[in-house]
Amino acid sequence: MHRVHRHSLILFLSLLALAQAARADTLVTDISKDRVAISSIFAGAELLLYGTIDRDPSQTGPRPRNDIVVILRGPTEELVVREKERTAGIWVNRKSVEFALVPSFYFLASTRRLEDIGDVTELRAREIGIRYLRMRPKRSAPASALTPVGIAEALAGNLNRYRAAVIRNKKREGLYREIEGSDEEGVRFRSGSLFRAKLKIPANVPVGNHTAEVHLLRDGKIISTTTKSIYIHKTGVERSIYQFAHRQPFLYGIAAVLTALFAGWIASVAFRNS
Amino acid sequence: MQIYLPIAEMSVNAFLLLGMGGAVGFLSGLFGVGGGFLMTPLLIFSGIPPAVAVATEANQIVASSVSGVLAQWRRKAVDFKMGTVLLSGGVVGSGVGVFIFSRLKEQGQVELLISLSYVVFLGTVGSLMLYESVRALRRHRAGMAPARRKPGQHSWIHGLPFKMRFRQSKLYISAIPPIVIGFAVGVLAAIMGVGGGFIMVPAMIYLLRMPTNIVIGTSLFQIIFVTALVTILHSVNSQTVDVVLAILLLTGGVIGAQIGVRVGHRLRGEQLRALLALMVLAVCFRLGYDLVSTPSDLFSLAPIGEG
Repeated sequence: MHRVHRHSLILFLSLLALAQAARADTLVTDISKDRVAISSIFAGAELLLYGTIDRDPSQTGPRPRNDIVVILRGPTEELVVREKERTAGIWVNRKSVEFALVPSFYFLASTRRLEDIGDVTELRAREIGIRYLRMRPKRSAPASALTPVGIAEALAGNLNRYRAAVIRNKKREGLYREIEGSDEEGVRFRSGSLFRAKLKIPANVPVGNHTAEVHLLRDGKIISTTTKSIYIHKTGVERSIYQFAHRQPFLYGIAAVLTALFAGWIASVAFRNS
Repeated sequence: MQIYLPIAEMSVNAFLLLGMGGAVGFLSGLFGVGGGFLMTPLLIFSGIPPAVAVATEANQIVASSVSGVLAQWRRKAVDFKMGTVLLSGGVVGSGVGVFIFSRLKEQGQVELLISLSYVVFLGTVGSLMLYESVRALRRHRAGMAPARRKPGQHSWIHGLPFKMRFRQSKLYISAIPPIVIGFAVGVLAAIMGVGGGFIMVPAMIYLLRMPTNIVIGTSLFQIIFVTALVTILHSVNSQTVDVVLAILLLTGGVIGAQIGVRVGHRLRGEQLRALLALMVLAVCFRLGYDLVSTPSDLFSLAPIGEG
């Protein structure tokens, strides 16, 4: 009986919270494209995200200070980070840490510095900001023969070096990027409650389901959130070649060889008489 | 013009790749070498993942070897029997090479394997070639005739069993040395993305004592099949053969090679070999320097599970 009571209490409280949320200001957003096709001439893309803050009509008084954070998150992946050490004069991969659930792509734009607009606990809980990505090491034994860094050593603080390495490498590849503070390339208010964000997608973007998250923050708290999914996929010949190579690797190899044989023969015929 | 490579999953400048193919093709036409040992490092230097560079270059060599072997065949300069014996070793060798390659790829050591193989082989071959060509140049200047090897000279190779007759090469020797040479070249083709002509040609001339005029055609014959097999094995094992990249490279390569052959006719053999040796050593030093110098980032990322 007690349990039932507690459950109905929780249900009541959450309904109450929902009702209150419904009455608070809410975000309305839209994005220029929800599918991005990677074709042979793909050299990156730019998505435009528009949004407005729908004010709760019951609220009166001066307009509060609003802040917006826009995040485009790629599908998660499993990664191995390898560390080189000098061995007999040359640099050799010696240690490795495997991470699970690392975003393959992460782009963030915010109207101000993240710590100025949100509580760190909340930022961390929702992984808002590259520095707040959790990046947990995989617990299973790595398949690699490199010396795996043990969990104990990891807890001793060594893990942060590997986390930093993931971020550094991803930033260098252009796959992690943050624009904090209003910027022509980031997110900015156009007028009053209307805002716009440019999401730059680099040419090496991983394919799959990406999510565009928009958070409305006020007084350090997230007031409203919208999420939209964006499907990034290969198209045309690129898609066919990729699928052929992965689904029929043997036939693909044969086809590659035949192409080369044919090209070589053509060249031989073309230049025979010259 | 940027073009997206579907297997390497990156966008590259098509003209840059055509140009690279052309430049390497020019050099291979000029020097009469396959060019794989220059192309694979160039691809790696320009940011193509090493595994993709090696597998794709093997595919490109199939094309350049076909046009080469057809030209040699018209001159009846191919010993098919010798080629087949070499190939029997090559098939096993390329299988072993691809196995080693994919094992080390899992362990994150494949870049090291590729670089080390290049440094060792390019260093050895380049130094020997430079030494030999400088000596020939000196002799030429001194007005001496080059030392000819004596015909009918016997070596330990003639003591081996399983003798076979190779009519075209005018040889009666054991099948073991060509099989071993074929095997070694097969391993190198799989690991380094080369045809292996730079190892096989000297081995055929100096170890097997084959007549020089049929050495190139016979080695090209063997290279076609070994690189074709390597292409298929890499496709199956790691899906790293990028046909778009291969087509770009071979288009540039075919045109470059034709120009190279014409220019090559006007230059002297020893000078050509000295030039080639210097270039081989330059690539070797660059790869060696990258192994020894402190990298800008000691950490690197790789996806788990797939290539």
